[in-house]
Amino acid sequence: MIPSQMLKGTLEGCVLAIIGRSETYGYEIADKLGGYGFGMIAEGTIYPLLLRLEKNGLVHTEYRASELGPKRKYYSLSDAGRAELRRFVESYRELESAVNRLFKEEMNNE
Amino acid sequence: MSKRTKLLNRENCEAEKNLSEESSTIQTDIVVYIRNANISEYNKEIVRRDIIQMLLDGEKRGQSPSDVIGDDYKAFCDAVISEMPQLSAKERILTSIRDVLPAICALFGIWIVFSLISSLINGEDWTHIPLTVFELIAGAVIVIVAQLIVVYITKCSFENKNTRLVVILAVILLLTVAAYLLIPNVVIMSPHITVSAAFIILVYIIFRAIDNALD
Repeated sequence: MIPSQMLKGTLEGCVLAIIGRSETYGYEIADKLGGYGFGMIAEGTIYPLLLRLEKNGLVHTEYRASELGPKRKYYSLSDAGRAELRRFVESYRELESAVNRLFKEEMNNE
Repeated sequence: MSKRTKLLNRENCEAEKNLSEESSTIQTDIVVYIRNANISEYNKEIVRRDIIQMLLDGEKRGQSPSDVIGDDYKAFCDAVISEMPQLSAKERILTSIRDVLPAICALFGIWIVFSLISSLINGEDWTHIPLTVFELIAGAVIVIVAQLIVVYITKCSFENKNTRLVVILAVILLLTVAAYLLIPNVVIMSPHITVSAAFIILVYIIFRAIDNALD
């Protein structure tokens, strides 16, 4: 299981990436994250993050009836959200290569 | 409360009826906790709508409220509140005034009715209503304590309700005894009944004006 502190910095970018693929809603985002190996994440964990994305204009929201009956809040990426996602991917790749280089040296020294 | 807030409030009250008893209790606790947050009434209703829909959707999937929201409801509420736009200082002051004005109207109404009944029973002049130091101070204390009790209830919405009730009753009892013992029952003014009634109407008009101005 990924420690929550480690998850904190990357979850926002990952949620943006999932919303960027197709319009989606809170539970589906949590479910998809679980499918990618992020572990069981309650919809309530994602909700404050989605509020932040909405507040910062990174997502558009729309309330629509779902096939189960109750209305759902659907999220789609705004232009600002797409730009933010590109920035996140660039930053994450930089971090990933830095960490990989460090671990490679560690393994070579062992 | 603005028109859009009233509309959303009505929609939420309707949607809330579809929740199971367990979800409804959790939803109420969350709404009570968020009630005291420094966010607009409209945003509180937005959050309430989202939570009701999340819980309803979860129920259809066979999930419990803790499956949907997580085990720590208080932490969830704090995270939600921190992500909502906060009220400005001006909005905060107007909200506090708006919340106090209905209590002032109600207390003055009770004061007029009780004074009238007392005057009519005792055959005294009913056109002028005496206001004593005790009534004035007790009224102010009731308004302040009522606000503090509301804040206390909202802060403890996820805690044991029996403990909460005992604390509230103890505070009310203590203040009542202290008021009877300490405050003199001296008349400070006797305004005409029409002036008293006009004062209540004026306070109500101010309340409506502030309430409509706030979102």
